[in-house]
Amino acid sequence: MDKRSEDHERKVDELLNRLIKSSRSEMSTEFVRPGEQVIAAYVSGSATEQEKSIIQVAMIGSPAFRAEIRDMVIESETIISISDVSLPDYDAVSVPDRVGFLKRRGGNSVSGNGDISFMDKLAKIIRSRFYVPAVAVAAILVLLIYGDPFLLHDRSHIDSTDLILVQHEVPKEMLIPVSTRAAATSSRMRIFDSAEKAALHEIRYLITWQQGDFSIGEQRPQDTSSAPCKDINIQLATTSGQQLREFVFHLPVTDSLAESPLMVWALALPSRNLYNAPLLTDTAKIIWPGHSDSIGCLTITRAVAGGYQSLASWSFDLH
Amino acid sequence: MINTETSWPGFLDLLDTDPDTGFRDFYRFTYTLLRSNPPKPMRSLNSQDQEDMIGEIIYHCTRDNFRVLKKYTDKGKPFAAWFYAIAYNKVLNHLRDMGSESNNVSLDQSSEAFDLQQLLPNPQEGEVKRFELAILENIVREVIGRLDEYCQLLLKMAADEFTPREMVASLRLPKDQNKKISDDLRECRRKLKKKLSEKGYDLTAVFQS
Repeated sequence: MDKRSEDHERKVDELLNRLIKSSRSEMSTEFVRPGEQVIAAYVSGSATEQEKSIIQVAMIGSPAFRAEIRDMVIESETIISISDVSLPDYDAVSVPDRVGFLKRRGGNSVSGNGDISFMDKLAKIIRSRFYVPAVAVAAILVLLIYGDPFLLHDRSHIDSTDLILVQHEVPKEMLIPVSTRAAATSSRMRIFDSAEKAALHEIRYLITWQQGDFSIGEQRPQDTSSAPCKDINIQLATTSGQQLREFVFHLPVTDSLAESPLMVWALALPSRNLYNAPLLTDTAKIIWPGHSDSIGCLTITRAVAGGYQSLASWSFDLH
Repeated sequence: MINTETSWPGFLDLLDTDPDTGFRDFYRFTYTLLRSNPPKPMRSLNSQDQEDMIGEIIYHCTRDNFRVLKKYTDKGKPFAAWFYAIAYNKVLNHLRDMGSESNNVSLDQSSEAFDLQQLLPNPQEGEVKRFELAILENIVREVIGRLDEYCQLLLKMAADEFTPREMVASLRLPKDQNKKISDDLRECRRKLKKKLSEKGYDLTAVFQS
């Protein structure tokens, strides 16, 4: 083939490529992303013929997916192992509840249920993804129906919200600590698909692991706003009513999301029990549950377009 | 140092018998692997968000009694490659959920400067040419759809400017297949041109005037 023919063929191929590229947009709507196990089998070179076909059909349908597969395959073929990667503190710590680890992983979800007043008070019951003993749930329901379970009806606070708290134990892996060096500057703008994820993400900034124990790290100040605010008081009290701590949250009232539902979350440590409740009025009281839980974190989340985000958080030490 | 070549790392044996140790060894493996080789979409994150992402990946693989890890089967290929794809996919999904994914390839044709008119002779013919171009794009779409899947994929990868090496990798073919894939691509283009020609669009004649 002479140079002129080569040049001609190159031009035609270029035109063809452009036409193929510009004609692909309508095909992208047919794309269905394969599952992660099929992708992983394909990338690792262990896919069956059927799995290969699934991936390659998907690659035909999506230019983005083609690029992803290309990058995954090439990167996975060049994996290296570097010995001097420093692991975070977490690695040096023994897992405190070895038996519980397995038990939690095998656990089932339970749903909250109760009487009308219970449901009225709760804007939302977050379903626990982990095991909550049925006896404890039953006990809470009985107390809700017949009594004043957590001494929540403190008549000295006319405006106070009666907080009914849903509890479950947070798996340790959900609390893998976040480096504290950036905690003070990290944005809270990140949106999560559940309020609990938003809360736990925020809480991870507040805790550290040292010598096998949890401890609280740096505080994360509330993001400042020049907008007018209303103060929301959150009190932490013992079951006998003694106030332990008080936190003030400044909620911007001109914010377009000012009316979106707020939720308060408390993590007790070292038990890792997580409590939450809707924040319905300007004052709320949380009954601190455990005798052995001496430290904890508190955070507030709200619903926003597309999910949930945290607004403020505090850590505290009751020693 | 972790072993990235083994098809069955030791922690997989511990998931049922000693899940605590299994978890911790897997944690070390994951952290070392992903810190040494952060997947491409993760590299744009700052160090702290990368750590968060690694935590998300560990949680994803270990939750529900190691559900994801237990789906792995040893087929003699490195576990690290399988796991890397799981992690990579998780990062992509996570970024997509956050709405901040920056795709390598834009699906928005309007944002791409495909000035096809400039490639065609006599671009000054303007509207008539443009109208024909729209028809031609539709015909290309239709004709490509009639080719076999292998050819469709080769042609599209070529249009996306994949190199022969990248095509070979993406198709999971043996690494010495670069020449073969170039030959196959040439043959697929020939088929496409022939079908277009049958429709009255002889691309080889476009540049000959």
